[in-house]
Amino acid sequence: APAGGRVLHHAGALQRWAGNDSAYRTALDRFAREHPRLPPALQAAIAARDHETLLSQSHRLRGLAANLGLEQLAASLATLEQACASPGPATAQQLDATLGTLLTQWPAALAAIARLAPPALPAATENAIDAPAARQAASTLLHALRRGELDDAAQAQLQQAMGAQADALAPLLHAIDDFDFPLAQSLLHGLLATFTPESP
Amino acid sequence: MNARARPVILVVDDESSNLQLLRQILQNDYALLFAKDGARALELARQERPALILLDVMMPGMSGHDTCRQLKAAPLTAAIPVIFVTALNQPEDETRALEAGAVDFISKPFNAAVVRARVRSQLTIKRQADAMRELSLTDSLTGVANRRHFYDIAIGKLLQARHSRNHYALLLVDMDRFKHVNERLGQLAGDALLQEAAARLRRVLRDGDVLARFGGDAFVLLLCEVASEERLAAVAGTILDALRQPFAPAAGAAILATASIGIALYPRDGQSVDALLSGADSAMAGAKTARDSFRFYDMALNLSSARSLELQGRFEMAMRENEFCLHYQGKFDTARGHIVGLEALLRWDHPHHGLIFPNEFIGLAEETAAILALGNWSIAAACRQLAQWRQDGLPLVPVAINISARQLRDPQLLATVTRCLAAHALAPALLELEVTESCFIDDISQAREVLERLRALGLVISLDDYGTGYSGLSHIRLLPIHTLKIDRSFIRDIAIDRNDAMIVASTIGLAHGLGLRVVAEGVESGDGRCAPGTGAGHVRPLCNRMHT
Repeated sequence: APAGGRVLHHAGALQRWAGNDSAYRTALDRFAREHPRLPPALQAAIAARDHETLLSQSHRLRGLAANLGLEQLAASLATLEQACASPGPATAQQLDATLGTLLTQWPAALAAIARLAPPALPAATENAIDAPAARQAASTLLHALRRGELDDAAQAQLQQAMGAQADALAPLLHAIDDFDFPLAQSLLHGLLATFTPESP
Repeated sequence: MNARARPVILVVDDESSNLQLLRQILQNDYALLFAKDGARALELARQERPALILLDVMMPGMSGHDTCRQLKAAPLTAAIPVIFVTALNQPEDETRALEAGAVDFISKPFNAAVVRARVRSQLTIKRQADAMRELSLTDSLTGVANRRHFYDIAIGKLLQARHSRNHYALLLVDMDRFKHVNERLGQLAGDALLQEAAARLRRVLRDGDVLARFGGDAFVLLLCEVASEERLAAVAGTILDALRQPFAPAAGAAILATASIGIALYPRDGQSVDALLSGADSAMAGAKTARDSFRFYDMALNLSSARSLELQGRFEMAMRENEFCLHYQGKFDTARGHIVGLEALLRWDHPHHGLIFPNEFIGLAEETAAILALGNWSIAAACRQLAQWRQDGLPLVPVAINISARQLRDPQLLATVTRCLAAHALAPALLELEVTESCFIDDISQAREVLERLRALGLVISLDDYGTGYSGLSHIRLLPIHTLKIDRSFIRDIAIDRNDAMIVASTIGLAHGLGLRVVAEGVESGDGRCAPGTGAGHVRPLCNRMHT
């Protein structure tokens, strides 16, 4: 991204997200939750002139920021990454200067994210839990996750079947959203254990 | 997400938002699998064989490059194209990616159109490569496997056969007087006949069997997991019947053709594809003299009686030299999908003749007292193995051992079993003795008494190969058995033969009524119609050579 890029290039990023605004906002939301400030590990690595750590961290964050349309962050992180890829006499000064820029850019990026409305959550219903339907949906979802697959339909059915208790699924939905399949599977196992078996 | 008709792509990235983004870009056109690290990616690639892998380069733990190298090094995953997904953008990054075995790479931040175009392009190349590969493996005239492909598959099947209790047989099928068809009716008619013959042979085969054309009018079949030689003969008869039906060419009168078949059995007639081919070829010579017939490779013409004498004379030494071993095959609870027991299968690893299956030597052993020593050896070996597993901290499941009729009449049997269990402090329920219906021919009351005492000791008793003999369930009711094992010749054909399916269903119902457990031998379809089952298709048998 060019040095003079935007804080948050919503339209450009949305195109990258195949126009799926909800998925895009969810990803922005997660970024804001996971990185509420310039990561201390990155700051520490700059202070310690730990080029190797910096290289991998800035590389990862640059990709993340660029995908989300956080253009200015991405540009600064790219500067950091390049400086560490081939360190020279001016590197220390470059690192310190970029740290200064990042310390300003990070809150600006978060503020821009906050200005966009967070993703809409499915409305909770007042319905009682439909245990057979929930068990069925949870099993289907578990089966998909075991083989590394997502199943939006089963996930939606599960939320629907949980009725007023759909909020209890928040940790599961976060785990799925984070592609943390082992955690999601163990949460589903826990959920399935709460249902009484269909037949002895 | 389950529309598996769509190409499957495995997306690997440690960063969730990258996975999420690629998902948005690709999910409408492809079925997607996700992994957040290299190890899981390798596992999913092996398990699901995706058409394409999008692989992040910089990941903690195993890097994308290492993951790609491992994918390329493993035969199962080597052909899956890998596109690297990377924020690296130096020319040397590109070189490294290609060196690791990637076919292309996609830069971050993603451009949706570029991602789609690259993926599409690689999938097209892959499809073309697969089609080329398919062509190089099949016989262009008939569409069946060619010689090279047959060897590849057959070698793998023979490895499976080592652990099976069933027969594997190689059949050489040769059209009779095919040259005359070509000469009199022209090559086009000859080709059409071969195509139709291949189609008919295909219809006779079951899943897992292999059909190939070796050029000319010679077809080769590898029949797997056949219950008996009689069954094999029946299949050969069916093949002859199928080929005897008139061939109707597009123009002209129907052609009447017949075929001859030479049959070689693994491992008796040969232990390699070449040896079996040579055996089947010798057998073919005999079949050709009669035409429209099949012949087994006749061991008597070669070394059968000499070999029998040799084997019979070697039992004692073979036991001393530790040539016998037990292979352990898992018994599955088909409903729950876990191992509930093991079956010990006796094998003789002969220094000159290679692996010999019990159907060749048990009969010989039964002619002498060697059968008792062999039976006692099996019990001791299984107990020792159980103790070893316990020492290794493995969970123990019951091990089933076959007991011969003669051993059941051995007054020392009870003492032998007790001694072996006590020597390793094993619970009697860990040992399951399998008897066959033939054990009860001579003296049912004596056999019953011995079994009752063994059962009282705590051992599990099961009746093996039920359905091959003559005992009705009313007869069985008198015996102190826990488990009825239905013979694989029924089970094997459940899916295709309604009669067998009915016999099995009613047997299961009646046996349950008598309070017996029912085990389906050789279950491989996993349809859960009988539980539990034993099947080499489910678990690779373990081989343990035992020292007594």
